[in-house]
Amino acid sequence: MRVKHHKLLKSVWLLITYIILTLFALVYLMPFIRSFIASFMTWAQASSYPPEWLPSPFTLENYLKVLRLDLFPRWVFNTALYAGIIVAGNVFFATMAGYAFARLRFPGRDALFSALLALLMVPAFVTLVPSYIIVYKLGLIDNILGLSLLSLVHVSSIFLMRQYFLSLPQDVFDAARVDGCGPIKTFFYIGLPLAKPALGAVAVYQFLGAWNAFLGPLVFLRSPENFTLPVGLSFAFQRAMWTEYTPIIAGSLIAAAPTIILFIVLNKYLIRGIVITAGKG
Amino acid sequence: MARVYLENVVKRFGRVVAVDHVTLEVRDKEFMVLLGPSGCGKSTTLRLIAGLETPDEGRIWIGNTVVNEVDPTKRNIAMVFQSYALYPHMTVYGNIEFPLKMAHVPKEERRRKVIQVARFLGIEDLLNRYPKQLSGGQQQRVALARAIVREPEVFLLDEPLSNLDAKLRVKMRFELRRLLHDELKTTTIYVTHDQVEAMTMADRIAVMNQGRIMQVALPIDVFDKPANTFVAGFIGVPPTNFLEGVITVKNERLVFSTGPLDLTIPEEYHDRLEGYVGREVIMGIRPQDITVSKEAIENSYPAKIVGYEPLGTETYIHFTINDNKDYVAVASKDMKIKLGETIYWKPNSAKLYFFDKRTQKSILY
Amino acid sequence: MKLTNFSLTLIKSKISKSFEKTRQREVLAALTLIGVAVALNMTFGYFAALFALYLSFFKWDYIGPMEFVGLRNFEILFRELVRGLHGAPFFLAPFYTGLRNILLYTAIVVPAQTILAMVLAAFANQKIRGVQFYKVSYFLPAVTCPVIVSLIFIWLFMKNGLINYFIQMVIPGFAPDWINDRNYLLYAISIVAIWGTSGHFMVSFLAAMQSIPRDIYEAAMLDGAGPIRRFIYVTVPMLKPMIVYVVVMGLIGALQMFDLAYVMAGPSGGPGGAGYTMALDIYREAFLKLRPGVAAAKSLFLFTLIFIVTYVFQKRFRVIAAR
Repeated sequence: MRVKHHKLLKSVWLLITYIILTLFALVYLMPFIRSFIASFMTWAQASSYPPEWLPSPFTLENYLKVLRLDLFPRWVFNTALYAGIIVAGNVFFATMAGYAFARLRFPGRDALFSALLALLMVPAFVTLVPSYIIVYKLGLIDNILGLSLLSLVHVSSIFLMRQYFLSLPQDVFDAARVDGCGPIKTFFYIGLPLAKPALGAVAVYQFLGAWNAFLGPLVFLRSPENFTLPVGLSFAFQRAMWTEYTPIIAGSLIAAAPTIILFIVLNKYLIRGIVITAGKG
Repeated sequence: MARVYLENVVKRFGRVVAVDHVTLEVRDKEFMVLLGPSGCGKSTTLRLIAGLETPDEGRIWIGNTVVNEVDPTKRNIAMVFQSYALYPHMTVYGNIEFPLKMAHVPKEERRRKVIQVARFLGIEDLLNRYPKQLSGGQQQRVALARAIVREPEVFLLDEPLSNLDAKLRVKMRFELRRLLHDELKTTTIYVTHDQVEAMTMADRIAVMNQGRIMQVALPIDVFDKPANTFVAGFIGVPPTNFLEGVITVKNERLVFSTGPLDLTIPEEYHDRLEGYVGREVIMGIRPQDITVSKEAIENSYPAKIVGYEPLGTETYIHFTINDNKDYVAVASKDMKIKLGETIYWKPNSAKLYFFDKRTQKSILY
Repeated sequence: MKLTNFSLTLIKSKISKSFEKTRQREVLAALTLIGVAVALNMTFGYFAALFALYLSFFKWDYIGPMEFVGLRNFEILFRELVRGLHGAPFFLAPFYTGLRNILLYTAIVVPAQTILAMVLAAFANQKIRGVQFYKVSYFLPAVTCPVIVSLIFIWLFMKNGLINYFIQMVIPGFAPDWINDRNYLLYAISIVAIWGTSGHFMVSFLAAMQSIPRDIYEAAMLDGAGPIRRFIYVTVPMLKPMIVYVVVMGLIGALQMFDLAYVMAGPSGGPGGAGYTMALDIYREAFLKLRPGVAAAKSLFLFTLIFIVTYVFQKRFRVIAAR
């Protein structure tokens, strides 16, 4: 009897495990699934109770409404532009700085790096207003470039690149030096090409951060034509641009699509990277 | 009574049969060593006894109970892992105390027992330290203490000495045997790939290869009376020399013919080898049982030296007898040899092994 | 003799000069490489922070001159807090409302997301198939923009929305208007936060759990510990560093929460300020009430609060760890 008891308990426990895990997977996915379905419904159907699950009629009206709005394509463009600048800035400048902090010697190097690291502790709100004032005085408010200045070279990117460069063997760089490369040449010919994996990581994280950013764009962008997608959609919602909610859902899905697709494609690397960062934290 | 009995146990991992119809009895209070090369199934066998794996076929007994379905938490056995598996977040005291805590032993008694065992193993000064602050030898003692404190019926040890440096290993061999067998008098099953450990520590050795038991015997018998070519070749350094050949009759005497060599078979083996006339056999002779001399002596055979290894205490001489194989003999360190030289070797006739070529099993024992 | 001495020193100085030269080159190169990065971060980081400190002693409207007012801004801040403590309504003591709400919110969200993440990770840490699918599903909310998430949840939280539909199945008759009801708004926001972040932390915990060597669990098994006791005595203690990380990150994120509140409660904080947070208040002070000095003071208060909370937590946790 003990035999059967033991085996049965194990199977029951396994079943419970699968049920719970799948249940929660549904919980986490349901909003996306439901939104996706509803984006093809009329508002009348989407807001019906009890909720319906098959769009009938199946309509593309919501997407069309969103795209017809002059501002929406502009928002997409602005967001892409902003993300592009941030990615480029981080990839370019953070790599250079990461390399310098990892491989070059200069007075105050470690103190300076620690000082930069300490900045991660300071909440965004403390520096928000003064940053706004600085950008204002530069005349770059309501300008994507002005907005970009803040996160152009994020400390976390510098940290990541430095970690990566530190992990590379010293010999390759020594060989370059012996071959007559000065420090800057070594960076461009040896460091940069070797850093591709880390560059990819920085690019992806910064893209995600920039595409989803809200507070910065909200504060630094003033006219609706210059908004990024999150700000624009929130604006559209609050101004009740459409009498129905479904266009907002459609717009939200369009806005979320790039990050979702990027994540699903790269999920193995992203998850691994985030876990490793947590380990170091 | 804490005997352990494996009855026809099989364990598969996918298509690999890790434990292949193993039947083994470990007697109460016996110190049994499972010896074999990596991958031979000895660790898996140990884990089956512990309950960390379940057998696909066969039964495992501890005492008088079949324990196949008994949870490892309830088997009353203790195991010392190769990596020691100490709880890194607990102090030494916490580590040793843990099994008692799980058994709901009251706090005062736990304290008493932990201190007693710690004193017994000489680690009472370390009770407040954490595993990562200890040396390898100290960690091992803590692992031992944790096993001992439970007063289990059986001790299982999985290559406990392999992470220690050579000197410590020699010391610990004696200590472990004394502790577990002489003082605690508890059934112990010890897994290792090191034959010196096996020979010096075991009451009996079970030699394993590819999931099967090759021989179970006293250490001296495993050495002197190997049951098959594997055991003969695995035990002993340098390894046993094997010659392949046929038993024939020449001049009314039994002769072992191999290539250019005809070896007269001594009287004492005649009755057992008579039935093998005309059949292929393998003869085994240990390097230590070969006498080497520069001149031809009675019953010796010529050979050419192809290499030698001076060890300081003795010299290993590698030679061929023109059948494309190297053989090794152990000679005195004072012998002066040169490559290519011809020497004469003579096997000790009392120490010959004969194996059936087809079954690889010993004909004599 | 003199000649060789002289040439020796000449050679030495030549070598040290070239050494110096390489050194100088290296320093120069380094400065070029870090230039932009350091300049930007120093400006928008340290300089901005120090300026915020400076600004908190001034009254200003961005255009005219800055007027030194000493500790007046802090006084305003504390007046609001005191008034709120004595029961003043939301619009007279917004900062108090923001503080109270965000503390309540943090007290709900941080424990919930941590425990949920740990439990789910424990379940997933067995020999099951399709782990990657679960990881991806759980993590998906975390890569989505919080604003987008809020917009979608506003719809789901509507009186006749999906969430009430599911709740009705378990508790019939319970269908609040989450977004517009001042008693439920904060809970709605909390639920969204937990939904959004617990999956991320679950993946972190799972990775930490999987790095625990298997033989420690086996030793515990042989020591007589069943699955639940193995979880309590082995898994949780060995997860401590990750737990600290998750909680600290959680605290920092929760205390500063802005996006969710702005969208779900609106810039004015929702009915009776039910969804008002400190971050929202700072935003209003700076950009709607045009009182950057007060905003700076309040942001410093927030900073101090975050610092103290995380510091105290880390300290306490170390003590528990030692036991």
